[in-house]
Amino acid sequence: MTRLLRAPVALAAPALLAVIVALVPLVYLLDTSLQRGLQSVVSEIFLSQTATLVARSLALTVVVTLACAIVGTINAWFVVRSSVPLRALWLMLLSMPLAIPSYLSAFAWITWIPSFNGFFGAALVLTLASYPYVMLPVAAMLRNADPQLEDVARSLGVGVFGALMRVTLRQIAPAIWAGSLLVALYVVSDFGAVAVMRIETFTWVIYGAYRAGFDPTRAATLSLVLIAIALLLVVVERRVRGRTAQRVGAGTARVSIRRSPLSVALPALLVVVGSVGFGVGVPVVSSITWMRNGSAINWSEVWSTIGASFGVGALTGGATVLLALPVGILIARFKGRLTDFTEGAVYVTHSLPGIVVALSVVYFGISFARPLYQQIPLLVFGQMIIFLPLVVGSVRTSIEQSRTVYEDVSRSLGTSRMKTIFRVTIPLATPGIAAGGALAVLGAVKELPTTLILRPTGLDTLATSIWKYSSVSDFGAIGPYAVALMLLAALPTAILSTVTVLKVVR
Amino acid sequence: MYVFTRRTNRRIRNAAIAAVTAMALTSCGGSSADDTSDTAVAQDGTADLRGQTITIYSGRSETLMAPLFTQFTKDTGIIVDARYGDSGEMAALILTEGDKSPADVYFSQDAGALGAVEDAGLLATLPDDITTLVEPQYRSTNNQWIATSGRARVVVYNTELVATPPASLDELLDPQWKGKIGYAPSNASWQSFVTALRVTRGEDAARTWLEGFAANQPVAFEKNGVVRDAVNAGEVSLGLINHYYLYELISKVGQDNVVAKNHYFKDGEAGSLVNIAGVGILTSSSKSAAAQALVRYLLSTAGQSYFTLRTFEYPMTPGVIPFYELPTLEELNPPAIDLADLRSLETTQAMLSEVGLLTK
Amino acid sequence: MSALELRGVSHSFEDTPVLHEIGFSVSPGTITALLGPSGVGKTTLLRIICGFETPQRGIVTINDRIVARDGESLVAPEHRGVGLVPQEGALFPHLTVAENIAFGLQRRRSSITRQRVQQMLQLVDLAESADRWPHELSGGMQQRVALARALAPNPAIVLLDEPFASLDAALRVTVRTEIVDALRRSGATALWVTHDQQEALSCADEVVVLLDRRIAQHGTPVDLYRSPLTRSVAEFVGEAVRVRGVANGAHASSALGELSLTQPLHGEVTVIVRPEQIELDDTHNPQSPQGRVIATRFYGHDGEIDVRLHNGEVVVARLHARLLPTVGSDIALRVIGQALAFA
Repeated sequence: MTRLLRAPVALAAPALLAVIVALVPLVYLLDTSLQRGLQSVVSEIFLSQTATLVARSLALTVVVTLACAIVGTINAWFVVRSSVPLRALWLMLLSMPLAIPSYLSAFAWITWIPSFNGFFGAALVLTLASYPYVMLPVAAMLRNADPQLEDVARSLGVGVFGALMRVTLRQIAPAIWAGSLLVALYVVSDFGAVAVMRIETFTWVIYGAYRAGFDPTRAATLSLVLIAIALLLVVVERRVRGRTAQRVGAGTARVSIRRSPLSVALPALLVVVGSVGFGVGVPVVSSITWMRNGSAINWSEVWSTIGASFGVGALTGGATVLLALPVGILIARFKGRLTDFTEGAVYVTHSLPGIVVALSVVYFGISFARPLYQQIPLLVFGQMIIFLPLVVGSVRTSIEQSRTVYEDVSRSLGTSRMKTIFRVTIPLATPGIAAGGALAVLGAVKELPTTLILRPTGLDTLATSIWKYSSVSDFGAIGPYAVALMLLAALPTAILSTVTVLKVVR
Repeated sequence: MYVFTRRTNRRIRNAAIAAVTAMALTSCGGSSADDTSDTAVAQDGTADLRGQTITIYSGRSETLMAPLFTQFTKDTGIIVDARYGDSGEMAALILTEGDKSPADVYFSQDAGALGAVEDAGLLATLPDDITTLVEPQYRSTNNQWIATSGRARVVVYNTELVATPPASLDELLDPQWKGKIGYAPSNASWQSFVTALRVTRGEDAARTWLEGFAANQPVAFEKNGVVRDAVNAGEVSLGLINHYYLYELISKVGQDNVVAKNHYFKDGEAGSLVNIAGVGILTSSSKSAAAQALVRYLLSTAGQSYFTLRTFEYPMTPGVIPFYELPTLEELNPPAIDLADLRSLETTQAMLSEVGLLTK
Repeated sequence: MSALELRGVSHSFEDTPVLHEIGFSVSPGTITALLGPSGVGKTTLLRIICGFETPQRGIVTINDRIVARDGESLVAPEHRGVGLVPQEGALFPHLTVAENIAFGLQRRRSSITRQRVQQMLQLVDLAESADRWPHELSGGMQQRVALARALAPNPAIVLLDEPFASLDAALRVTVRTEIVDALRRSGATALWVTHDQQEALSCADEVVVLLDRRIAQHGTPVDLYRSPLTRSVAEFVGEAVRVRGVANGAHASSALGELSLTQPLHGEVTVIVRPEQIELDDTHNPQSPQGRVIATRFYGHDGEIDVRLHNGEVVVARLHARLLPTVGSDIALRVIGQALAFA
């Protein structure tokens, strides 16, 4: 049952703050691009070249999203529904691409097979890097989907595959859509992989406007196109997903899982092994090889960068969760026009490349928050803008899956609405909150472009160190930082995958 | 089975708060040292600058510059806070910060970026004693930025495969080199060369040359270093890179293992371009004396020798001779263009894209 | 004073009327069943009483305090003193049994609270389960804890929403008895929503029948069963055997013979008797209604037979198991007691 109540102020105020935070880049873009007048903005955007680039970006997005939907779903099915042993281990391995930045992956591939560039190289690298965004929510939903529906279909004469297609797929469709949206937004915004793979997408041109055109105004204008694309994606996804229905069903007992024998799962195993081997194996083996072939490692430097990455990551994770929590609760429990707008606003800037977000924070920070400029707080702020949608989405999904009856009972026992949120809603959503926090920490640890611009002078993270040495092709030096980054990121990835998929649903 | 009990929640929450607080306390130490603006400025530099801190935005890599800055600090006592990034991105950052920028010095890998910052009116005019250190073509016409080192375009060739390397740009278009030329399409120096081509020959002629070059099926590589290695290995016969890559290889593996050599056109055309790395002081800087001290240092014997010895780049000041094997700057006969004109890099990229030489 | 009183409560969802002029009251210390078919609006009514919906028209009064009136909620749910036992208990999974029960109490760590929790646990006969987790308990035990939790803060009224719908049939009766016992011992006032007429009739002091968005009848279980006001109520509160009849004052003639009516009527009527009122007639009286057994159902302790009478109408008779005739046999019947008749 949807709640059409007016939201309490204690939730609406942080939500408003979140919207303001999320819109900082948008305001910057509009302000900067309009410096040359609206006419110039229009003519800039409607160049014929723009159309080609947008088309190429969209083509790449569509291909990668489709591939991720397929690969992610197959992998999810394998982890949840096949009778493979060591399930938790497979799940963690399959989630590991989240611990590997796309620029590192692309780098590993291109040094291994230099001719492997262009559209399909980029598509492969991006698919291998982002399929977990689909796999995790699908796996979670598969775990809670009622297997009896499949049985009913089988009894009506539908074959195994048919039952999968017609029944199970329908059940997990919302998860596929939600994950695909994240993938699409990520591909649109990615620059690391497409730069290494040398394919001219729209982000390439935006970066070109900064790096070759030295023209932030033109770059801002072009970025508006990305915002438009993001809006389009958000609207499409919402239409197709429909309003997420309240979970109907059983009480505190766990849903029984039907497992397919390994023989049925064999084709899926190919995809799984491919995903792990290529998505995780290639970057990991490359990094270790670099490390082994490199010169002596400066361990104190490595340790201090690990500390910096961990610190910034933890702060970003914490801050983003704090802000995302009221927003997620609001969107999940108080559906209506206003919350739709909030949800859309938070997602829209997720399509922007990191440099745009960074410069927007510079733009405002240097005028309104000077003492914090080039300090950790603004760096965390910039990363919060980027990762807010991920955490909001995770919180929202978690709360939507929890039944409102608990909150009803709480209120009938004399607990006010706000107290109920603290005593019931939040504790029950802890897995989703933990997952969202892990996503934010992961993202912050891997994040590069925003960190380069907003970091305190002299602060090096693992990501910036990798960048530092890759720009002079010093592979030996990259090795330890790459390995350290993947190890550090492996922990939140493990938390994320375990919590998302293996949690008990109430 | 994961049951997030209230006790577990509390434990998680406490641990998280502790961790975050600890991190906040430790990482907030990353802030820069306190700012002391120089109040006593004397033109003859007698003001005591020791202990002051200047902030540099550097588009040149940390591995290259950090040792030099450390040396500078040891010699002058001026502390350097260096922020590293891509030259163009640093320029964009300065442009966005405007006159509130905390940077004192902008150090760029190429002239175009310097030009862009100069055009925005953010660079201060350099004093005469600095500007007279280099030839006019190696500083901006308004004396607001100045080159610190030069990079010459060359054709590196495999001596075992090639008896006579091409003598001019147009000879590169000869069919005998079909499929045998290596280049790095995303490299900034290559793109600067193409920009110089557009400036010297005009848009149409440049496009014609590029189309001819593309028809010769050049082989694309990730970076200049990779091109050099391919030439040395014989994968391609020629490579269009900068001069110093060859010497990097020689110093790493020894002359006996290197069969590649540099060939210079020396014909005053775009192929003889000497691109520069340069530096400017921001008008918003409150530490101009210390900043000028850095610029002087970069152009001093110590600084210039660093570039010649460390990276085999061309020094800009007379009195410091380039690496002995290199032809002199005059011998190079670079094209007579205003380096600031290399600013239209984005148009170059568009043209390269249309001809199919930028990306696949 | 009544613990709960509704007057003229009407409510619609998006132009679909759900409740129409609902009015009844619940006396303190009694158990009232709200009986109606699924989907008729019972849950909506519960939500209105709890305060999660505001009735578009009508007045809701709890302990003589008006809590909602004509589209306006005057008292928030957390202040109404209405306890809720939802369909599946809905124990907080992240709290122990004791913590669940203590949830609605102030100062949850004080000794007074602990005493109260113990008291409640004893009330529902689960004294040793204080530190167990909800998922460790069976469905029936969870329901009992849910009741204890609702009763702990001493609410004005406890609402139970189809509390046994999720339990096995076998378990249902046992748990039902335990819950009713607990309610009676605590002296609490309860409103019990159900579609199961057996449940309503056996547990409640009063039954409110909700049919077609309205209250069809309100009375004791006996009243409802023996003297339903309308045919729908009659058919809803128990199994009804219908035959056509012609009424003539206090009697009606039908295929089941001359039947004495509870209320005088005239003309063509539908006569309703309960299956247990139909017996086998072994007196060989040619006047007795005759028929052929077309189906039998054996329930162990008793059974039912479907009999096709001479005029084609089919009636159901409930008999002792050992008296069940075989299918196809011709038998004679007689009706005990009075019949209901509706025009």
